[in-house]
Amino acid sequence: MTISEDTEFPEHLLYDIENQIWYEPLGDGTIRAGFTSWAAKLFGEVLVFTPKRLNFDFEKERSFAVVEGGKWVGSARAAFDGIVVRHNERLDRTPELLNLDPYGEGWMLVVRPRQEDWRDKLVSGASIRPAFDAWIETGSYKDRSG
Amino acid sequence: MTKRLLILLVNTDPRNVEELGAPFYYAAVAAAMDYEVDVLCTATAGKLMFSGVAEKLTIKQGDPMTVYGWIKEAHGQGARFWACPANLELFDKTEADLIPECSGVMGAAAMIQDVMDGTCRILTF
Repeated sequence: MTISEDTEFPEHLLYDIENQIWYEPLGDGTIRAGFTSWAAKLFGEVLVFTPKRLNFDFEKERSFAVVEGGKWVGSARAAFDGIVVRHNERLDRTPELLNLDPYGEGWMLVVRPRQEDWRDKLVSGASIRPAFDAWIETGSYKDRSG
Repeated sequence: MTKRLLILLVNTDPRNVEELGAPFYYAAVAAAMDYEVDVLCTATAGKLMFSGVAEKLTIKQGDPMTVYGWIKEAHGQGARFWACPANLELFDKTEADLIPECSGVMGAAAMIQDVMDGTCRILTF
């Protein structure tokens, strides 16, 4: 487990640091995705989770899900081109799982990437913390304090 | 199918602050969903595009989030804001008085043309 600024980044996952989304290959060509615990802390209470529809053809850096907190809105942006193949239906009724268990029951989507190079933007293992720290240094993440 | 949403504020304005959250919240959500979002503020709602107006308005008493905070949230998600040229005339303002989040003025003809041509869907508040 890599811990950075009180944030956990399980090392078996791949990370899109810029969008704070993790990806987990499922072994059948599909990939599970969710927000990191850092993103969940930044969001605070999530009231609604709305994924793109099944079979939606998404592009890299475009939204494949939206979370709403009543006083803010967050977009989950993809690290690669792909198709939505499954939603976490539990989030329909219990979106707070995104906060409570971001790397487990709070997963968002299962997707199928369009290209084999889908990992290009992602970091893993020992690269996670330096990449996260460098990204924090840039201050490019959005302040959602309102 | 069009991916552009036009949100028109014509009846929801600073005289009833409580109603001002919804249009900007919808703008923020639609932009976060990657729709192209334009928000046109006209009639009395046009005042919201003038510097110093929205930042003095809070939707919920005691809550620090201002209407301007909502405008910034929606703008940060990619929504574009427009003032009405006739509105500037009505309130004796110029484009220099507009908030930085406002892209400028959208003429009525441009808006009506887009609606009638079907190049956008419209939500009116």
